[in-house]
Amino acid sequence: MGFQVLETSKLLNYARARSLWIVTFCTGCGGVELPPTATARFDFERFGIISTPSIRQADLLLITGYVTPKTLKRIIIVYEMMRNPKYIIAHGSCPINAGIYWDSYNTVKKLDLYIPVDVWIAGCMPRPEAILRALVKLMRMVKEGKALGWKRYLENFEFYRKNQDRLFGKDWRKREIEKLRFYIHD
Amino acid sequence: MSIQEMRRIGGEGSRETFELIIGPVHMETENFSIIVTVEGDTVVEAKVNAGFLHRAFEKLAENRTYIQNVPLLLRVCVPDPDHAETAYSMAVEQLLDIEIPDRAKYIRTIVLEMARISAHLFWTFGMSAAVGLYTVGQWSVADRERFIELFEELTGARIYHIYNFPGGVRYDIPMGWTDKLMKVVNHMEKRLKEYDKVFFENDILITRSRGLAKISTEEAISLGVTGPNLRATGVPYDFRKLDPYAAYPYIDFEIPTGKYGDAYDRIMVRRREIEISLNIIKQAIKELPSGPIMAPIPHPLYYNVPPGDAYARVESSKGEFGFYVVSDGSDRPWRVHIRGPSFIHGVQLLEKLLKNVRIADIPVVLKSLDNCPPDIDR
Amino acid sequence: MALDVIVEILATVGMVFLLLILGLIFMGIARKVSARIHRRIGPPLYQPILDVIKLWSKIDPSSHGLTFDLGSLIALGGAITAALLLPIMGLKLLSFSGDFIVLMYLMELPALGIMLGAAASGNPFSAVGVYRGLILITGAQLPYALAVMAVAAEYKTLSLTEIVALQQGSILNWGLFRNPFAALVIAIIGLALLDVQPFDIPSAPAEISMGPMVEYGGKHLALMLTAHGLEFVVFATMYSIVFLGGVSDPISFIVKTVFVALLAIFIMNVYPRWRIEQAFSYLWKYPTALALLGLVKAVMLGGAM
Repeated sequence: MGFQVLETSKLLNYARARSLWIVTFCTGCGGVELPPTATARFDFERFGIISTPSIRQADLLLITGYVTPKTLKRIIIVYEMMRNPKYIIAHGSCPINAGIYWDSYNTVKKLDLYIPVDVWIAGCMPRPEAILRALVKLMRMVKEGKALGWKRYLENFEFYRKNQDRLFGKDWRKREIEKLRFYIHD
Repeated sequence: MSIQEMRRIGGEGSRETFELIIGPVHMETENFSIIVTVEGDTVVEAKVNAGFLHRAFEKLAENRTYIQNVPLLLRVCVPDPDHAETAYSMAVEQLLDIEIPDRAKYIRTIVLEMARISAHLFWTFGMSAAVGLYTVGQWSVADRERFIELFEELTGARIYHIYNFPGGVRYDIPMGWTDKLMKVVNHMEKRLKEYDKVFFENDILITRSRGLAKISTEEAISLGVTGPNLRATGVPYDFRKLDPYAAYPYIDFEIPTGKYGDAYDRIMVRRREIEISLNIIKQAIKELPSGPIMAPIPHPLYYNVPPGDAYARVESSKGEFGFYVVSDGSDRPWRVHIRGPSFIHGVQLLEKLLKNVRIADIPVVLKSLDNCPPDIDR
Repeated sequence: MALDVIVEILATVGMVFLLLILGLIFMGIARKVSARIHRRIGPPLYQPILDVIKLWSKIDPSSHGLTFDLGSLIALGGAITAALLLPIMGLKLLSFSGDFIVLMYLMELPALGIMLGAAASGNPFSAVGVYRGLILITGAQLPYALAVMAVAAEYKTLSLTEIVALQQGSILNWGLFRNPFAALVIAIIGLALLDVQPFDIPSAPAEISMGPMVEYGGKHLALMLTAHGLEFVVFATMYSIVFLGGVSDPISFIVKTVFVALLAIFIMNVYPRWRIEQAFSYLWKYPTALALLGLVKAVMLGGAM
């Protein structure tokens, strides 16, 4: 009931769109284009976007490049630790279809089988302009209340978990949580 | 969970230790994580947890033709891809037994030095953020953009240029490009002085990094350390002089070395390398010969390489970067082995140096080694 | 009589609300000016307000128990109480004869509140941040107390209103010129209290991922950001009142507080971060010596000017 208001309020959606905080987690080559996007030439802080090292404070997860199973486990944990509403931008060709590493044994070929992605950026490597365009598109989607990846994840959690279990084996969460026991509380 | 409880779980016996997992969600470690055991504020033991980026380059290279391997193998080290593509091209040139034209050599030198400067400027971003001074990092990445723009004009791409090719370089220098480069070089020389004032000669930086994570020459050599990290211990070990490639034999430059082998020496060696690279670019532009840019190479469809093996190495911004290529006479390499500097710097040396340092020093030590996580995992 | 009480309550609430907004705007100024120093355009000045609204809009904020929740409330409560003690523009809300010393100690409450909540969160990075923060506060105590004593001895009063009254007349009556040592020390301590470089050791983002704040998100972080902004304003106002001749009218209030804030922002952008033991030994050396000098000057020469 209260959630309905929180989700649809125009003011809140505007504030969400204008204050996307990125969690500082680079997963591949694409991380090299993020500092240029953040600094003088392109400056994404104009849109209120900053990067924060704390997962709890972040709204946006950038998957910046190819994803290996080991990274994917961390991505899923980070994504689940972020507070709703949260968004994902997948960056480059690699999360779409593994790009140039299409025949590698250690890359994840289709990212959206495991976590819901809101905006895709094609290309290798995406230019800062492309990243900014994706960010602006995400901002528009958030403002209109259309960036609902987090809701898809809640609703189709069984589907995602089935795929995750198929890749990592059953009980992978327990094993990871054992490794990261201090960092995960709920 | 209270602190006491946490310590009880993390500790062994009476020593009150706990574990910190630094990375991969961390501002400095980028793509690997360090599991440090901490006693009070002092690091007792550090273990590097790498492998977040393993893509099996050496296996993938066996399934691609020699030409297809150029765009693949340059992705080994993301902030500094030009050195990787040059090293691979040089290995293939050795196998094909071709000598690249003089103009290509000079253009390669210019491109490699530009790549070194942009890699060092990118490192400045991380280094200054590690000690909490964001201003210089922001400036240096913005100044790096000027080099990236020139790269874009020359090669058509910002990061992965695919420009140094077996046989030479792919495109000739466009009209007016050298003038623009000279302008950027002059601008960069002026900016370096400002960096010095704010960052490299900053008292707090010196107090924080002088004497930190010292490494002796013998230790460094026995571990296989190369590049600025070895030069910081006082050894002028640089393949641009020892095993010259491209146009380096014709160019006059010195090799900066440190004295104590501590974190500040490593920082200053890199800072002086930027200056020396700018000088090399100036000389290379002045002496740039005319002529062809590509040696005759086999037809792309019949790109068969005679059997044999070759090892080629370059002095990348991080250390020795080499490719060992074995050919069995077909159009695909039989085996490609990559010798990257970062595994040694980022795993063995880092684990050795992260002992008896404070928690606050971890990012400083890590960044002063300038490793490249994609190169660790390959 | 009843009307007076209502007016007073309304003025208090209005003032607190105004100061909260002003605190967020000050953080906006900090971000904008930093961005200009970085040669960027930077966010709009109202960006922190949007951030706070966004943080309140989080649907499932995480909590780690009552102490964790209380931490952020203590931080904001301490900052608001400190703000009410300040005689701003002739408005005396909670002023009394010893308010200077109470204000000085209330200004440490936000940091302590954050430490308390963070210690309950159980994250090792929080734990590291907490002990760093406590060590830093301990290190700041000695020069801070000495400088406060020097100011008190200088004016021979502990009431902020009287301190303002004593500085009227000529610009040379300002605390900055009467006791420059104390002014310098309080400025250095202010950097430590506001958690900016070179004293942003407790929340070093590149070392321990925001330290105490690492587990705080959503509403808790909104409260903390508000408290931090308010603390910024309270410190700037306190400094203007004690050393820059008071803030009796809106123009001098804005000009003086923004001036003090800008100084902090400039220092923040050109200094790296110290290690905790380096900061501690620094604080017990130079600021302590300066504060002692200030105390000697105040006692020997008194309020004579």
